Order: sequence, then C-alpha cells, then structure tokens
Amino acid sequence: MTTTQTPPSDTTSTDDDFMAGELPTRRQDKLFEGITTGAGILILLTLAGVAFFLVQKSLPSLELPAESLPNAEDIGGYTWPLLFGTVYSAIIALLLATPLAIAIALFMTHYAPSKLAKTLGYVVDLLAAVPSVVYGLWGIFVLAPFFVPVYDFLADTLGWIPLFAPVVTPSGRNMASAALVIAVMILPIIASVSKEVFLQTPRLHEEAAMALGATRWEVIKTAVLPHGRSGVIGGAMLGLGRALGETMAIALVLSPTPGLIGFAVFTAQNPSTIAANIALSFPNFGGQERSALFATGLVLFVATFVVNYIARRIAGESTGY
Amino acid sequence: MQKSTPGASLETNKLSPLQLGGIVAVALLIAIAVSLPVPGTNVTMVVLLAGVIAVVATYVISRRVEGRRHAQDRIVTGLVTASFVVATLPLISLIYTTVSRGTNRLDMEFLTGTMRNVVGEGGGVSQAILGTLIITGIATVISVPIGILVAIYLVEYGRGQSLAKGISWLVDVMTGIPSIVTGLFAVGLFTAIFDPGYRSGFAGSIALSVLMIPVVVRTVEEMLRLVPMKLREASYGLGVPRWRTILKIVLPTALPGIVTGVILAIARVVGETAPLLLATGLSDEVNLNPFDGRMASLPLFIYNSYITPGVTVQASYDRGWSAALLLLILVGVLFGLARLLSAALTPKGLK
Amino acid sequence: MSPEPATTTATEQSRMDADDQATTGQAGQADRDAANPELAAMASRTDSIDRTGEDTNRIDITDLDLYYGDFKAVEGVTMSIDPRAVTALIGPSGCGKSTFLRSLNRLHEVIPGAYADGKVVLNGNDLYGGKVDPVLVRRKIGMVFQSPNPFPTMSVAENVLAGLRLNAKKVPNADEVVEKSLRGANLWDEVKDRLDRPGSGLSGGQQQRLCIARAIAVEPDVLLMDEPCSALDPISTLAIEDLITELKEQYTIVIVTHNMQQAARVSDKTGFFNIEGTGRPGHLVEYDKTETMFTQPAEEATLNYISGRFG
Repeated sequence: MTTTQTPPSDTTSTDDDFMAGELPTRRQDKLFEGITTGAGILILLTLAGVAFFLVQKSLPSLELPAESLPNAEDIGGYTWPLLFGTVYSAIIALLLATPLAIAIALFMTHYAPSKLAKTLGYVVDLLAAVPSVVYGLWGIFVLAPFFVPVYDFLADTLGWIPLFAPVVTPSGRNMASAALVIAVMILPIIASVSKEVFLQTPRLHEEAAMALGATRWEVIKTAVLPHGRSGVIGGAMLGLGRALGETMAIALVLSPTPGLIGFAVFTAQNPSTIAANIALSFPNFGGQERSALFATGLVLFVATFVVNYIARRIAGESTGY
Repeated sequence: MQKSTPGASLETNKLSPLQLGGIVAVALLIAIAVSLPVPGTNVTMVVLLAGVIAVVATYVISRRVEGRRHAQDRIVTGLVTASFVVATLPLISLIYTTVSRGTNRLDMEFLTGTMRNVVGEGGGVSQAILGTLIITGIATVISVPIGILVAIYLVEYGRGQSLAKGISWLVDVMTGIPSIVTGLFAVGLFTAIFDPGYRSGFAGSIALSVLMIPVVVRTVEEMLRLVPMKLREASYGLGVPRWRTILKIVLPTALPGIVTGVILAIARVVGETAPLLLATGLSDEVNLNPFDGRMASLPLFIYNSYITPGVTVQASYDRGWSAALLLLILVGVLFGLARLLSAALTPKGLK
Repeated sequence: MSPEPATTTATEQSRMDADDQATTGQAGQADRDAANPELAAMASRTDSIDRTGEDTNRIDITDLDLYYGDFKAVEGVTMSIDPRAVTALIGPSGCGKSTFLRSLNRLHEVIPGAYADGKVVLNGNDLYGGKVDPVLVRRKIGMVFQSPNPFPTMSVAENVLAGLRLNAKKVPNADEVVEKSLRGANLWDEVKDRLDRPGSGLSGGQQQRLCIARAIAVEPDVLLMDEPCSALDPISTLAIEDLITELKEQYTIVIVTHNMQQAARVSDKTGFFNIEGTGRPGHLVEYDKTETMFTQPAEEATLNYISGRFG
C-alpha cells in the first residue's frame, strides 16, 4: 500500500516548462483520476460479489433432498412462508409508523419552536442510532409485556376479525409486538425524509394560504401535505426497505412457527421472516442446508432492491435522496 | 373562510393557554378517577386516557367558543404534539430500562474479565469490547478511504459521465442492502477462499464495510459539493493540478463535515449484530487476531446472553443488559463526539 | 495480506529513508534547488531573462474562438496585449469578456466541455500547443477573481505561500516570500502582526489584496483580474486600483471590469467586447489606447456603451 502513493511529486521543471513533452501534471491527474475511478468500480465489483456469492451459494438448495428442510418439500416451499412473514411484518410496521412519522415531521417543521425542533431532530437521530439488538431486548422485556393487556382487550372485543383472533400469547412475543418494534425503528427514517420535504414547501404557497386567513392546519392541508406527498411516500418506501431486512429485533421478539402462513397477530403461532430465520438457523444448519438460507437471502436482497429502487424513484422527484 | 362584515371587530373569542391548561388538568383528573378502581392499570395508560379525553374536550369546547375551523386546528395541534410525545416514549423507556437493568453488573470484573470458564454468575466482556473495537476499527480503515475516493470520483471527476451515474445508483443500492445479506456475502467470500467453517473478525469487518462504505460516500459527497467552486478556481489559478487541489484544498475545507459523517457512520455499524453472527461468531476469551478464528463483540454478546442464557438465566440476562448499556454509551459518545468535532473543526471563515 | 509483500515494502521503505537522508543532509543553495527546483528555476529565469526587454511577456492572440460544448461563447478575437501595462476589457454582461480572460490561462477549461480554437502566444510559446500543460500555464499566468477567495483552512501566511506549497514545494525562505508578496500587495503593514490568523478573518478589501499577494507569490509573468473590485466598497476599490498601477511596473495585467471609470483610471489600453444578441458569440469590437477609446472611439457601438447609451 505504501508504494501506490502518487507519482514523483516534484514536477522538475525548467523555464518555459509548459512546453515540456511529458505533461507531468496531466499524468499525475490521470493517475489520481484512475485511482478514484477504481474505487468507484470497486463498488460495482462489491455488489457483483454480493450477487455472485448469494447465487453461487444458493444453487445447491435446488437439489436439496426434501427431508433436509424443515417443514418443506423443496426450496420454494421453504422460502414462501418466510417471504410472507417478512412482507407481512414490514407492512404492519409501515402502517403503524407512517402516520406517526408524518405527525412528528409536522411537529418539527410547523409546531415546535425552531430551537426545540433542533433538539427534537437530535432525539430522532438517536432513535435511529440505537442498535437493533438493544431494541430486541427492550421489545421482549418491556414492549411485549406492556402491550399484552391491550392485545387481550382487542382480542376480547374484536376477536371475530381474523387479524385479532385469540388466543393472545402471554409472553407477548407475537407478530404485533415484532411489528411495533420495527415501527419504532423505521420511524426516524420516514420522519427525517418527510421533514426534509416539508421544509422544502415553497414559502410562497404557505404565505398565500396564510394571507387568506387560513389556520395552521389549513395551511398544512392545502400547501404542505400536497407538496410533500411524493417525498413522504418515498420515505415510507425507504422505511419499508429497512423493515424487510430487519433481523435481530425480530429474531429476539418474534416466536416463530416454521412453515406457517397466517394473519393472526396476537397468537403464539407466527410466521417467521427471512432475515430472522437466517439469524436463528444459521448456527444450527450444516453446509448443505445453509444453501437454503442463502437462497432466502437472495430473495430478500432482490426484494429490498426493488423496494429501495421504487422508493428512490419516488423520493428522488421531490428531494435529493 | 369566514365572511367578515364591515365594521366587525378584529378580536375573536380565543381560548387562552390558561384555559387549555385547565382542560388538560381536568382530563387528567378524570382519567385517574376512572382508572383507579380498575385493576392492573399503569401510568402510561392513565396518561393515554387523559390525552384522549383532553383532545375530545378541547375540540368540543373550542368548537363552541372559536368555531369549527379553529376547533379542527386545535385537534390537529393536539394530535401532532401527542404523536411526538408517543414517539419519544420508546426512546425514554428504552434508555431507562437499559440503564436501570444494565447497572446491575457494571463492575470491574465485568469490564476487565472474560467469559472463559464462566458457567453461572460473574464473568466479563473485555473480550467483546476489544472485539468490537477491532472489528469496527478495521471496517473504518477499509471504508473511509474507499468512501472518500468514490465520493471524489462522483463529485470531482465523474460529473455527467454515465459510469458515474451508474456508480451513484449502485451506491444507493448498497445503502439498501440488509445487514444480514452482507453477512451472507462475507461468509460466501471467505468460505470460497478458506475452509467452510471459516470465521474471523476480519470477515465481520468486510461485512460491516459493505454497510459503511455507502454511508461514507453519501456524507463525503454532500460535503464536497458544499465546497465553493471559487476555492477550486483559486487553486487552479495558482497552477495547482487538479488532484492536488482536491487533496489540499477541497478535502481540508470539507473536513469537519467528513469527520462528523464518518463518526456517525461508525456509530451506525458499531451495533450491527446480524453480519457478525454469520461471519465472525462469538468467543468466550480475548482474541486479538482478526484473521484467526472467532472473535467476541458487544452486540453479539448481548444477543447470545438472551438466546443461550446457560445455567443461571438471570446472571446471563444481567450481563446482556450491562453489555447493552455499554453499547448505548458507546453510540452516545460517538454521537457527542461527532457534534463536538464538527463545531471545533469548522474553520472560522465557514461558520 | 501474506507476509511476502510485507518484506518488500520494508526494503523499499529503508531505501526511501536513505534517499531522504541524502537530500536533507545537504544544506544551503543546493538543498534549496534540490528540494525546490521550480523555485530555483524561477529565480534563475528572473536573473537571466531581461524583463525590461521590449516584447517579453507580450501576449499575442490570433483568431481565438472559445466554446462551451456546442455553444460558441467568443468568436475571432485577435489582439496583442502589451507587456508591463494594464489592459482593460469592458463590455455588457454575457459578452464573453470573462470567458476570454479565463482562456488566457486556460482556466475556462475547468468547466467540462470547454475548449478553445486559435492561438495565444506568450514569449514564443503557443499556450494552446498540443503538448502544453494547462496547469503549468497557470503558474505563469496568475489570476485574481471577482470575489475574494482566500483558502478558509489557511492562515494569512499560508495563503500567501499556498501556490508554492500546494505544488509540493518546501519553501526555504518562506518568511521572505510572505513579506515580499504582502508588501507587493500593499498589505504587509496591515497584517504583519496576524500572519498566523485565518485569512478569511480579514476585511473584504484586505482579502482581495491577500489574493493578489497569493497570486504574485508564485512570480507569474502575467496577472489576470476578473472584476477584482466588484465585491468591494469604494475605499477598498481605490486601494486595489492604486495597487494595480504599481503592479504594472513588473507584470502584464489584464483586467475585466464593469466599471467604466475604473477602466479609464487604471488601464493603458482598453478592449470593448459585445454580442449581437443572446445565444450569439461575443466578439472584440474595438481595441485601442484607453484615452482614444474613451474620447473618440472608431465604432458607434463603443461610443454608445461608454456613454451609457446601451441596454
């Protein structure tokens, strides 16, 4: 590494050296540009590497003997319930987090005094910085037990809806708790993207509304929200991408039933997610079965890729994201 | 919009802050009175109930005094503020829980000891602290130069090129990779080179680098774009070649932002668990060699103390919480450091 | 990562150390020259070339067209810029005078897609010759910009030395260079007590003179100034104008200005640039002694512009 430093830095020059045939600085510049371009290409190679190893390591799963996979005939049957659980938990989390995130963004941009808003922005950043494994522990020991009475109440009163079907698991380690924890985790992402777009509302629009005697809520309704719509959707999609890949919090909070596809969110019978399943199964699986985990990982990679792609397409139209 | 009649007073009936405070206080009292007889209620539920009562009451009263539009405005203000309070509750609860449970084992044995031959109570996490520092350190050493170079390419050289647009897009893709997938990548890469059971701190560092590089690229990119063009021109005008202008003028000017961004990127990966679970594994004793065998880390230690608590469950949980507190402190220190440094490093001319 | 390359690196390292010692071991003039060939070359050039020679540092421009991609910004400029005199370029906004000025040290090329067609000859060398390095051209032809742009990360002294140090040169007589350049820019007395304070802490006029000191520290042959006073107050402007008059004893100066009085006050010759309309290339309408230009210009357009009867 020490020798790749740079070319000889002394551009030994005589008078009128800009006629020199060697173009020393141009060569140095080309070299440096080459190094930076190389770094850029390294990004491409890394992603190609990620895709390559995921595919290569998952190929054997196509020929796995049926008995080596728990609760599944083949790799498709193994992946499908996990993909269901992944998408299901992420969507519930998204539905819980988005309205709250919009409200937080509005609070920071239009309600809180600017000094307070700055501090609050810092709090939201902190929320994003808490490691997911800590969220996981907190989910098991605090959030899940706290919500059990709420689950009980909902299951008692609205139990006829399949979503809220009893029996509530006493530990609270169900789909609802997992989704709540993820919701808390993706909240800062959606909130900060929304905040950015709300701040970019043309002042003129807001002032026009105010000049007409609109209340604060009417200003928000007529100027801020319409302007920020695509940005908020983009932010929500980014949050979704994050929710799909969330691993440790779910691995800890959710008590999974292998192979299950079900919509009930309060019971002890829960579908697992791809990421959590990899984390829980990887240490116990031998070389052959691991190929199945790589296959599910590939599916997750593609899914998050698609979601993030759409997110950036939408958000990119209204912000620099 | 309200019609105003000629000569009508500009003064309207408005609820004063005192009156609003009164509504909230009464709501709280009602909530307490209602909840007390019910078994199993807690403070949070009382507060939530009080909130609901207060919002409804404010709407009703405001509608009578101030009119429908203002009542609507009041209710939204209430909801938005309440949402914010609700959103901060998890953070407060999480910090409170971690601190109160984590201090149980925050003693010297915990900080300096290891888990070697520890089956029940006692034991320490020095191996995990060292492992986290080593793994994150290597990831930083890999990610920062690469990230800075990529950002330089994107901002200074690649403008308008299709390759640069492609790479910028790939950086976005990389930002979205789930952390567990980077773990699978590291496992795939290293088991292709070494034996199928290969685990090492370095493999974990590679996985973390995949997560960290795009964050560094985006931060540095943003900072480089903030450097005024006129500084680059001043340097070119002095006959300084482009590469030297970038290294000696553009980077130093952007340094405060870059340092802050790098520290925040470190804070983001220091708590990553999933990649290390796959690529690095866990060790009970100190392993300082990142290229040889399993290595402990704080996040994975926390995970493991819950997943496999061993003989004395509570002792393991206590260790987990204390390690979680250490990790939170580490993240908090990094956050504070980032803020302090960004203030301290900013040249006076740029403030 | 294997031990093999590590040993190689170690050997190389020790060899490099040896080289280092060899260079730093010598002292005095030889060391200065070895560590800093550029500066040595400059010094020797200053000694050997008769700077009072009639046509040294004259710039001859022949049929110069300037482009930004497909857009032709300036067309067919032919002029000869006198050495050790001030040449002012005036004209309405967008007429290409700034682009033309920047093309004289090939600075317009930093915008992607920009290029030039034609000849700019300084001391017998075509600056646009195939093998010419634009970076080295800029060391011969310095530039002062519209708004002061001292490097914010550097002190006053470091700013002055930036041109030398950024080119990887150790500057053995740094204090001398700083004082000489700051005196040359009429700034020494004002900043001599705060040489190590940030350059960006100075007032606007001081900053601009600092930028001039920075430009002359590399001892260029020509100084280009792109509206150097447009961001300054009247008093600072006067100080810079006085300075320009002093500097022309040593340097060939080309200045772009919007301010007609300024052109009249400081310049010996004036060139008037104009455009036919938006999207059309700018061109040189008239170029003559400043006195002639402001009293009896040959072209109608020039008269209209200088008498304020223009757009």
